[in-house]
Amino acid sequence: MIDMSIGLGTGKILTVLALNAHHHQLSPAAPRLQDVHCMAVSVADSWTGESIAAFLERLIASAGRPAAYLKDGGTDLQKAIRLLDEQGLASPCIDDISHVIANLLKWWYQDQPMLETFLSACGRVSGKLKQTVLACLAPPKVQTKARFMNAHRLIRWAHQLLRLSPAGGARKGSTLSKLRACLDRLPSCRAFIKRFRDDAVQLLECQRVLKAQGLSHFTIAQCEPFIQAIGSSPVRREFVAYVQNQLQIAAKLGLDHIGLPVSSDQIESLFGLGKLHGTGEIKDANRIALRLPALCGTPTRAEAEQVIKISVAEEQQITGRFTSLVKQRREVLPHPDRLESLSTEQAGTHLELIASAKNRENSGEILCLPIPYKKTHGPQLQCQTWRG
Amino acid sequence: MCLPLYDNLDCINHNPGGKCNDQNTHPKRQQQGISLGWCAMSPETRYKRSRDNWKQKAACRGDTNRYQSKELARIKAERDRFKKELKEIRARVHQLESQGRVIVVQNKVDLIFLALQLFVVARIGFRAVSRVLGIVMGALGLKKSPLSADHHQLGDQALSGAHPICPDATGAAGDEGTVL
Repeated sequence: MIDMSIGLGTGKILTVLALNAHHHQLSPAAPRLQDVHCMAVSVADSWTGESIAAFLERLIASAGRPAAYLKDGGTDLQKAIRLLDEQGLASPCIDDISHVIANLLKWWYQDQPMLETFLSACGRVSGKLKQTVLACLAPPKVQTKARFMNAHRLIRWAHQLLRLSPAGGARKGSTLSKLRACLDRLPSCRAFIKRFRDDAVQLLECQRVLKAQGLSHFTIAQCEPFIQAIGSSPVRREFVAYVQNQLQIAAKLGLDHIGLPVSSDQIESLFGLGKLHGTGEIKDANRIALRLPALCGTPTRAEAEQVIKISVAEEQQITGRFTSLVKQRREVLPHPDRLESLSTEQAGTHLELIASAKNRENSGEILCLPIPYKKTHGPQLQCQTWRG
Repeated sequence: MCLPLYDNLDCINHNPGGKCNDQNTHPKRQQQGISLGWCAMSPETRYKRSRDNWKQKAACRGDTNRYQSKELARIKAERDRFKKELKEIRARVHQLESQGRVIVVQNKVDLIFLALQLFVVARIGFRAVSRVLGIVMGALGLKKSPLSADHHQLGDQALSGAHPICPDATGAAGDEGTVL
């Protein structure tokens, strides 16, 4: 599982997690953060296809080759995997279902003029409702970035709101008349809302099944009625093509009867958790990256024993090597003469952690997670390289 | 076990003179169609028979008494044994409970493991971990509070803008307007 995220500062965090490919055979539930191992974390000023491929090469040399890569639709990640293929380190590439569905909806609806009308109407309705007795009917917050990941929430809200206002007259001064005064141009989007909803609801039902049980012949059969109920035929056709493509990968990996993991939600939630938990007010990319491995899996006694072996001074020495926004802020804000030091220090160090496997002889072999699945496990990370 | 003796006894009790007539027949025998008929016993025989009856009754009573006293002794012994066992088990349970209540965190690794779980699984902040441990230290059997005076100082320094670990760090303490 590969993904990137940003924090404060120039650094971008690249994280690689490992999930057992047979997860759906070993566990009835969808993979959780406790089920993944952190294989590598690295922070760099920028990530290109080449730099990601070089980083993955180092990881493969250290820990082994994955059975498959699970990633979102990022082009840099695609390029990195293509470069690895050229070097003979090929592994099949699985696309995250959430991103695929969001991209499908974006591809089909982004250029439709009614979308803009609908979004602007939602904004105006929100403004009209928020400070009134009808505040409870205000729309959910949907961020503009990756809008189509959560657009269904807005559509569902609009559909429910329009159901509160049936056809017919409303008494003057009644709640219904107040609501109708707030609806702006939303009623004119009724057809658009219905069309979007017909597509999104069916796709999300498929997503729910495939995320929980993996992609297999059985789950595809379960999804078949939902697929057939998708309103827009181009969306349906593209989704079927995606499912068939992923099923071929599952067959190649021998997982077409077990369930192929098709969701990278764990890595997304890891980034979310990493930014919220234990990083303080300043979301420094290096600081976030340093804590990410600890948030995967479940803590073990062996890890607690590792903590004792390292002193506070040693820990400070290690963490003190890379750029810290907290430290810079503390040093520069009260001393205006030190402003220039920021640009010189900025070219400083970034964090890189790569998991190492003991006694690994063949670096090209498929990575096998050594720890039994149901037992508690945790990443055994070693600080390997410090880039300057 | 003792035999039923009432046939002869009835005859003796109801006929102290030692003579039985035709009317003085046993009702059971009558029911069964058997008549004892006329009997006449000498005093010696009567005494012997009476003594034998008494002996049989006494033997029967003795057997019962011996059996019952044996059983009583066995049951008392069992009761005492069970009482003793119950007492021992209660003491052991109490001991285990008291051990379980106090000796939870036996060494530093346990404490670190607990702190890790609080941070990673319960997802509470670093400073909250030490606060929680400070609250539950009694129940965990911790002798020293993790929320030490140093911790408060570190927290205060961090809030005031001073370097949280090295108070002498350049530009840390004593500077106005330092914020984190």
